[in-house]
Amino acid sequence: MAEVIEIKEEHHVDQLPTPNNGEGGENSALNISYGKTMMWYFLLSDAFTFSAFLISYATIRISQPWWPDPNVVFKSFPFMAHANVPLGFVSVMTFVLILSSVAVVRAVQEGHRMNQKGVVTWMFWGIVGGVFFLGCQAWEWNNLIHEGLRPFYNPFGPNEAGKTTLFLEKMAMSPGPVAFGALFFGITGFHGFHVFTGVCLNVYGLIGAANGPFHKRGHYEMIEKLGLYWHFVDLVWVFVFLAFYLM
Amino acid sequence: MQTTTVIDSPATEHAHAHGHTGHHHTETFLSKYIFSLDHKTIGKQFLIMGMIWAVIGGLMSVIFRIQLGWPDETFPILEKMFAAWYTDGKLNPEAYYMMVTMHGTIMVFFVLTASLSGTFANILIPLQIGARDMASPLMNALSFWLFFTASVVMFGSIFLPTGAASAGWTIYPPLSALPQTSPGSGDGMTWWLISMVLFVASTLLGGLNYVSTVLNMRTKGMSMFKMPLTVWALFFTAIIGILSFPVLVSAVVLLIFDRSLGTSFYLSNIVIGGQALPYAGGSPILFQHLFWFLGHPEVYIVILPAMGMVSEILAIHSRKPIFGYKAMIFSILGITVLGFIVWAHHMFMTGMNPFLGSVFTLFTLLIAIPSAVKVFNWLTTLWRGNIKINPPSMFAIGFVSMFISGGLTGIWLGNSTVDIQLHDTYFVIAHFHIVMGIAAFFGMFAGVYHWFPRMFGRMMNETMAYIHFAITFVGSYLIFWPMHFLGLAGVPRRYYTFNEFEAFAHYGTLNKVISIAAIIVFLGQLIFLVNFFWSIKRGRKSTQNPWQANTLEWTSPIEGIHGNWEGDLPEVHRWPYDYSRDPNSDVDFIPQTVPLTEEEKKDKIHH
Amino acid sequence: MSGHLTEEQYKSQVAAVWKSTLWLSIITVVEVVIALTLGHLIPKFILNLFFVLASVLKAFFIIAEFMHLKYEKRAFIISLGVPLIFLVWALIAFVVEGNYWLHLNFPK
Ligand code: HEM
Ligand SMILES: [Cu+2]
Repeated sequence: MAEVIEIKEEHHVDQLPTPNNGEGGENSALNISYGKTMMWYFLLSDAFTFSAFLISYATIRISQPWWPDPNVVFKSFPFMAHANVPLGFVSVMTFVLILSSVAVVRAVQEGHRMNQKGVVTWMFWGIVGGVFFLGCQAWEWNNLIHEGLRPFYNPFGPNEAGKTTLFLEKMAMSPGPVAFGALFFGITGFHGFHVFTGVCLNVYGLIGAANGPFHKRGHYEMIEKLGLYWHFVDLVWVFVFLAFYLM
Repeated sequence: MQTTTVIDSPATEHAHAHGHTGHHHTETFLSKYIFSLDHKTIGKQFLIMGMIWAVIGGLMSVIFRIQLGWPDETFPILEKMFAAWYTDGKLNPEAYYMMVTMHGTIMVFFVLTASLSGTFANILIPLQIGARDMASPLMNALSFWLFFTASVVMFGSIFLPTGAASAGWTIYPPLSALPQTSPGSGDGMTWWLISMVLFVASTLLGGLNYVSTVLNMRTKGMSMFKMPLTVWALFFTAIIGILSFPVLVSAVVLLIFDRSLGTSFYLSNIVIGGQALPYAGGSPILFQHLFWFLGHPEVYIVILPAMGMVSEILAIHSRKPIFGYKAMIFSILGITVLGFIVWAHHMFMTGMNPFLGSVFTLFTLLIAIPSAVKVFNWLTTLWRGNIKINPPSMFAIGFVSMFISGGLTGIWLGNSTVDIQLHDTYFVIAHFHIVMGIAAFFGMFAGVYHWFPRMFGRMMNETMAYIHFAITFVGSYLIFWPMHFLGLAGVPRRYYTFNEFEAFAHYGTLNKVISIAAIIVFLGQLIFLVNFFWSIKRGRKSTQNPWQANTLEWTSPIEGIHGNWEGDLPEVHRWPYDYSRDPNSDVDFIPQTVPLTEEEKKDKIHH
Repeated sequence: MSGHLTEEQYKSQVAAVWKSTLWLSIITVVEVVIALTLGHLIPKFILNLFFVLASVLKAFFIIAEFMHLKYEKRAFIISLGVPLIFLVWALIAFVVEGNYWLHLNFPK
């Protein structure tokens, strides 16, 4: 630990891009550059957006008398038509996203060493992971839509569709709570939107690293900032995974 | 971009750090006044937008006050002016609801959030902490232009065939979610939601900028605890915005889904015109929770900047150090934290879990503590001060008066049992207009009168300012004080007319009085506008430090230059409140840039 | 600017990252295995508690190591951590409400 902290001191004192316009002002109160400060607080803000969604999910879910079992809903696997692999596919997705995050961490580390080639390679793998994840998500959505899930209709449920009447006879026209589909598409969609944005940003980072403008600046802080965003996307997935697939 | 300003970004700034004011860049009108990246110009842009919005919002309140004051009269003149909203000389009920909704939205979000923070955070943060500009001038400009776009969308919605949103500024579903419930819930609501998302993006860009500027761009010697209270207040305001507005986005996104994708987040068991709608399983109360998770912090976003400015102004104009500098900071912190955990006090009467309601009552009443600390400190700052009577100090004192009057009724409402009687009556209207609306306006006026010389190099006319003050102060109390009695008698808010109610028949005269006062106060604000624009051109030229204040903004050339200081940035040696320190000296203030004397250095207590 | 890091420091940092990766993978695998095997044996409440704690642990690895927060100044960490308390309170309050609606709508 001790030596790691040592590194941190060095890297920050040099890399802090010029507090107060390089005119020797007070040190940054939190010892972190303004760019990274903004990114961190932006992510904090975004965390509140996601949390609001997930908390709404929890609230609605607990107010329903019945909720679909994830092991039943999420059991398909590509290229295995009638396979019954509960949580198999989503585990692969999760793993890919983690590895993609790791790749970007590696890119950041190579950036600290000013190793341009290393940054480019690792960013590339990070992007590949992100694209793969998006592909998986598209497949899963498509699959669930095929099975009849809609934002306003949920085929996974104990009731007989169309039989139940309105009002406290619960769940309107669909067998299961309609909120399930709405929440699933809404929240994974919002997460997917973030992954997509992250991939675009990472492509920007890749180009900037490959063509050399970052290198000329003498630091790869841009890659660090993009990396923060990318890990955040991974972080959110941990909780989306928890909410929809595990609980 | 290169031509507009010397300071593109902190990184390039380094290169021209010295003597850069000598440069002359070719500036066009557009680059100097419209697409400027200079924080002082952006601040003024926010101020002007705020004024335009305040006039529009104020005019709307006049229109619906006329309806409430004279429900039986006809007004052909008004019909001529606003043909779309009147039939047979009478305001349409739909138009009435649109007016109250737009009035609330405009005043709370556009005037008292965007414009108040936008103006003073932009102008004061860099100048008072000794920075050449914001951390990211580009994002700063973007923040204004997003606000501008949001404004255009909101303003445009008024002219839709079905009218603007009309579900109240809190846009509760199901009314706001189902277009068939009222004309305003159609396209007008859609535009409202779009405008609000743009607005949040603007707030976020601005807020991130303010926070990182305060954290990272302070000049030499300006430690966090040497910052003026204005900066502290604006700093926490930005933090509250960063944490609460995203939740509004979530609430709005789910509402958009309900409106357009047929989801049932907020809807269940709805029958319209005998027809049952297929929504099931959602809850409108979920929306209220999400909305007020933003909504309550929002009221502090509105009031904190005013509190900060008032603290500063009261100290300067009573020529005394602020009483309890650190207590002021920690009470802002306390308000910030508590502000996030009390939201459901707006929902006691929704049928929420009563046990939860009592927890929220407890938290709510706790907020009275930091609020009282602040009030106490303002009063003790004034106490036995050498009070200078001038427009900023009058408005600052007015602020304190309003905050006390309105804050006390908050404590009534915070008790869930009392709120059973008072919820959704004019008592609530009185409470929040006095404590938030009028108080924040007073803070804003105090700020404008005080920093006008800093913005425009001239002083505002004092006579006009005093007339403005008198009308606004007396008039506001005349409008809102009687509303307490209406509310206690049970008169509900958001009603188009009370003609049908025997019980409220004898309040007709009172409603007329209120309406007349409202119209006079509205006209009184025109004096301010005239004064403002007249003084920009004709006002008495200001000296470099007209109020003899200690803070850094008065050391930067009063004409306002790019980069704020010629040559090196000023260095700070002391806190900003060294007023009347030495009774034997004829100068009663010591600017922050004056080094400590040997004696002061020995005296550890001093800042 | 290059060369702040000695080769050794660099190596130890890289090793730390791979170690976190390993942990993240292990926790995820354990979660999935438990969800599949013990799902019906253990009371739902305990199971969910385990999942929540495991997820928080995963979040810790991502934030501390990948996002490098562990190595930032303490005040900065606090400034990001304290606001999360609001979310915890929000979660509690909202869920209490949701549970209340369940009992209102489906009285026993
Ligand atoms: C001691 C401090 C305060 C307490 C205990 C308090 C309590 C309350 C309560 C319980 C309500 C809900 C009343 C109802 O709808 O039945 C309320 C409404 C409101 N308060 Fe306060 N308040 C306080 C201070 C403030 C401050 C400082 C502001 C703004 C700067 C503010 C702004 C508002 C607004 C805007 C509403 C009404 C929103 C609406 O329904 O349209 N309050 N307050
Ligand atoms: Cu409130």
